[in-house]
Amino acid sequence: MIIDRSHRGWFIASLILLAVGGLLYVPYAFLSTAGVGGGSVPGIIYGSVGSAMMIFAGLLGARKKYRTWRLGRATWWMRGHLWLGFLSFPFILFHAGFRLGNGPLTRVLMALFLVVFISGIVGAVLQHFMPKMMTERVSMETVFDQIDSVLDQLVTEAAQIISDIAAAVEHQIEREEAAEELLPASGRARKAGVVTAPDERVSGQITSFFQSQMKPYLLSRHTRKYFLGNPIQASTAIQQLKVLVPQSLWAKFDDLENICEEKRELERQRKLHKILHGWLLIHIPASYALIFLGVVHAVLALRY
Amino acid sequence: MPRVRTTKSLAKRIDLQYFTRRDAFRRWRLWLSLGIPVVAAGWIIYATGSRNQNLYTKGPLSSAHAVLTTNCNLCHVRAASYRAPVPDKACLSCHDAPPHNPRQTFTPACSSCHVEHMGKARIGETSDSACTQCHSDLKTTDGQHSVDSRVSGFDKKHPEFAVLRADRSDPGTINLNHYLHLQPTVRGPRGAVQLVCEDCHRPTNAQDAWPYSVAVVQPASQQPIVVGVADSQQQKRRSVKAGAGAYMASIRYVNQCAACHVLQFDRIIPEPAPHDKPEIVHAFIVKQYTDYIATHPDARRLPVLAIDDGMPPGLTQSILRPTGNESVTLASSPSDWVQQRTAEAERLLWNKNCKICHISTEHPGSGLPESVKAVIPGRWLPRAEFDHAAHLMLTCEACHASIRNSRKTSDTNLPSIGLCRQCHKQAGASKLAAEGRCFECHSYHDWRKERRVNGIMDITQP
Repeated sequence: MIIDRSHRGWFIASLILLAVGGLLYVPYAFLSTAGVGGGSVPGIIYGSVGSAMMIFAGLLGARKKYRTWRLGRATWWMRGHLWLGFLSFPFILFHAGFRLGNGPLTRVLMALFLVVFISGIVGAVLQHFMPKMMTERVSMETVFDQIDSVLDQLVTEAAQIISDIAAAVEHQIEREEAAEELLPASGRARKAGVVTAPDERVSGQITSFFQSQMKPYLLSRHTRKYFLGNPIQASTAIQQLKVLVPQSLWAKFDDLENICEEKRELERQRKLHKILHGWLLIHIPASYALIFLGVVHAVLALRY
Repeated sequence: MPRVRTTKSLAKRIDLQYFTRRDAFRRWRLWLSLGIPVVAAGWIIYATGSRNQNLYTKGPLSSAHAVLTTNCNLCHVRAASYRAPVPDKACLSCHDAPPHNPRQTFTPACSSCHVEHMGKARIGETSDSACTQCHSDLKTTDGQHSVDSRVSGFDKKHPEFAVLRADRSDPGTINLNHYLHLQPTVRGPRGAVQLVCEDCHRPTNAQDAWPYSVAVVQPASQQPIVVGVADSQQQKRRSVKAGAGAYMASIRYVNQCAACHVLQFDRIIPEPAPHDKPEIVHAFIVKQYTDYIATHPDARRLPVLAIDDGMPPGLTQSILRPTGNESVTLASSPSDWVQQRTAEAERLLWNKNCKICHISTEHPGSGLPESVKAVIPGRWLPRAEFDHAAHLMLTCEACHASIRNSRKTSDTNLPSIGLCRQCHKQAGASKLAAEGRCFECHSYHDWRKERRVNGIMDITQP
């Protein structure tokens, strides 16, 4: 979700809440006889408000999972998640008296809280430019989950092309050999020094290129070690193979080059997708742990 | 036909059931979302099972209580409900906490001022707000105040020391001229001396001998028995909590004055009169003369020197030398001699020696003088603690700057609060200053009323 003008209401409300919380904190900090801390009445209030904000933010997952719930639009929940999640940070700091935790549980809580908060900020920032970048850099985007399946299909397609090329080359060789037999002896001698048709080695080269380079490249997730990942080097290699075959087969090599380009795009899409969504692997588990330990902390802190 | 990629051709590749299966990313997200909270829950369960309550602590205990870290129940007493706060009686089971003032309108809970779980900070270092919650607008049960009712901080909102206010002065009744005593021409037991502060003023724990004590001029066997208020009683008037060296030793004639202000009354009696009540001095003088005349019966023929009242008060020896102004009287009997001699000696003492320092009046019945009770305050700030030992790096005159020009007893030669503020600030070490919070000088608990508390803990013998 991009933070734009439609967030203005949430922004203003958050600003007001923050201002109120801060203004109330100042006299509390100066006048408190026992010092600021989570166990004081204002500290408990700040902690409760911050926790409520965090729980609301955590409910976004449930709202997105149960889309038929009539509890406000998902975009409204998303905005609440962003702004109340952001606001929970200063309120928890007010609750803790700007201390990062002195006991084991409170230290872990504060560490988890920082992880969740920072990862959330990172995710929100990424949302603002990564999608556009993907649109610009990945012209033919596919479903992320299906990239491996598509790559398998590309391998099949490339194998078919290679097979077609090899068959065409074999056929060309047979035709040349048959034509040569019909030539007089003088004609064979004149032709001996001229290479006009592919020989058996070309087919082997092309097949070997596919087996040793192209197929592993298409199936691999670590494409840096393959020169086919570089468009210029891939084009050069394929050009070198192109000149070995008749011009009628050159279009097939163009298709092979096209397949390599598609592979590069799919890998680009995979990489960008991981950047765009990878932070969730930290943000979501950490937030569940935070909420669980937060409940434990609240129950025990109220006891003592 | 060249290979053309269109969205339709791309879409045809997609398995239409893909959404029913989780890809690796979603699987990782699921397992991490389950695994990390499970690890957290396992941590809590393990700690609970091993009875490690330290896991839930708000922070480490102060140094004095660190030994109790694993024994939360000593302080956190479980109430009838789920809660286990720290009641005052938990603190009072080990500590006595004498009340502050009988007229205070409420008594704060122990934990409201003494905040634990703040690490190695001394638990006695209470914040100023613990004091100013009352003293910023002081109210008492009877509406009467004996202190300023609006004190909210040392830096700006603290009144001048009471003893330095306009209507106060040194209540001392002993005539003392510091200016004179600090001159280089002061006559000591062996000639002119230059006195320094330490010659008369030393901390109570000082061990070295007083340079101008009675021991300088009198053998130990002849030194008077000290009578008067015992040191322990003086200590009680001061703070019980004061450490050694906090306050100065009392000013006593036998320690600081005797070597110069010798109470010799007659050249034929080498012993000086004791520094004591007039009746005791009188009895001493009579006995001395009686013993003397008994062993020197011919002394009756010696003239009794009458003191010329016109002579300025000075050292006794000059008065005892014959100057030619004396009238000569011969005693008719030993008792008459004793009586005459005693009268002259007492006239010397009461009118000269004693009057140098004491204010006295004549008792109508006995004819002996009555000295106004000597009042030399041993503690000038009765509601605050001051520790001289903590200020040893300063010269005496750094704080007592007016002493060299002080000519009158009524001069109060204490530094003003402004001088203290040059070093002591409320922010203390954070402002590179000495501590200036309330607890540095003031004590909430009246430790003079401290009672012994019997401990409750036991230790398992090895």
